[in-house]
Amino acid sequence: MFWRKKIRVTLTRTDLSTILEDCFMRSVVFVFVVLLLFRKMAELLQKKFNSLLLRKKKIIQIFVVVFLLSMDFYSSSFAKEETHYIKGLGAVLREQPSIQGKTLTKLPRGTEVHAIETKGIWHKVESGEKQGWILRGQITKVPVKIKKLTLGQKIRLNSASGRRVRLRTYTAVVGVKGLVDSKGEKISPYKTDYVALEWLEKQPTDEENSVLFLTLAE
Amino acid sequence: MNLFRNHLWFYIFIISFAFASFGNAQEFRLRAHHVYWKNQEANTEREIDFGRSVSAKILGKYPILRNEQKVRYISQIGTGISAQLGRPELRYYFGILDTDEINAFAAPGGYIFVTKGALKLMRNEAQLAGVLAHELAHVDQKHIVRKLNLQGFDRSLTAGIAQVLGGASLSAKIALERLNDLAFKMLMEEGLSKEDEADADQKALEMLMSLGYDLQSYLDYLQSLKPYLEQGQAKILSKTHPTIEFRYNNLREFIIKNDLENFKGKKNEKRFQKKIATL
Repeated sequence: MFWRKKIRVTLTRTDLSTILEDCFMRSVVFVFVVLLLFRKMAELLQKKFNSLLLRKKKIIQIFVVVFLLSMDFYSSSFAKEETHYIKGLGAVLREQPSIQGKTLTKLPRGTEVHAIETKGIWHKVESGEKQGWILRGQITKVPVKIKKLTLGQKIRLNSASGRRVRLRTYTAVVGVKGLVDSKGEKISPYKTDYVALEWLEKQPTDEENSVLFLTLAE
Repeated sequence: MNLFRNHLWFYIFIISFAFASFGNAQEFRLRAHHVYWKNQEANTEREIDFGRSVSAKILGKYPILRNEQKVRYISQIGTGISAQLGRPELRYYFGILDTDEINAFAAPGGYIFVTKGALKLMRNEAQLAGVLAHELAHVDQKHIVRKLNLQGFDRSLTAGIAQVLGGASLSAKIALERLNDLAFKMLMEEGLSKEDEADADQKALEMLMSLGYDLQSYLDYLQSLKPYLEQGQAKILSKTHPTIEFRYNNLREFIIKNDLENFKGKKNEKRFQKKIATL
């Protein structure tokens, strides 16, 4: 409900259909239970209400319940479009839509901002009480997760003793054997080199230092 | 009033049930959020996996340059850009291919390669940053993934890449391998669409601007490619990219449209020469 803390959801069409389905099922169950209750009540209240009044009331109540349920659902799916999130490090809010514009504040990664206006590659956004311009490349509509997916590092082709271990992912299997079809011939005509790739993946990188490296004078 | 008092428990029951259902809606919203993110994450994982085997093929074609200092320099520049303007969920890898051909490749999932020939042609750090930014834009915009139709549209991820690539059966693997070959072929022969390249060029310029690098350097680099396009050295590049005139005009248009003609950025010529001197 509106007094609860809002959770922002970015929904796709497929998500929407699943949610609608689920909501429909929920309201069907709900209406069924309500109807049962009212039937019970109708038995109890037969002497005090005439049946017409009861039916009217019943219909109205069901509508109210369904409406409330759907409202709750819609309130979650609205108010998402203009919400953006800061993608990376070193995002700067500027006074004017220009790189020479005066710096207002720096925004950390993942900050929620609301877009107000667009001008070419610049977006006017609101963050807290501050308003300013930011480059469109620095914001994204998808909520930012800091967790890095470093899948490559999980895969180890060889253990210390030379025995194959943890051949969990498909690429690892292909890397060792090469994918073969039923006749035992290699499917892909291209050569692969996973050893070189692993060497590359082992090279250290540090985001904050790299950003600093870019800003340093030569 | 009498009625209300008589059946108070019924009303309480109904009201509490209604509230319970609101609670469920809230919980459901959370669940939807969770499922959405699980899909998102699964998709990204598959994308990395997919890109990983594409880049293994790239490395099968060209040897990698195992010079830690030079790779570190490239990686520092690249990671500096990606940390600010790339996809936050990815870890990007930057490698140098030990070949005299002039080109740069981006496999899905954040694997980016520049050839030694291209590095030799570059004159300053702004040009290197420009080339890396161009490839980063390909990864960020998921050009290859989209062109292969692994995803219907931007955020339809539940029906996207995970479904296509998620199968564990042999036939699914074969299909995946075929797609992988297609992606590799796209990098080496067919190329992306004109629009995608134009978009990546513009995004690269935007990144350069936001990082404070000189914009004209990137345009100069494009111009300097010209004599090599006909020869063997940049044959693949000319096959997979639109003409230099098209790219140059596209960028000029972008510069004029966004009023960037007077933008003066850094070139970092000395640092570049020092780090890349003896290739």
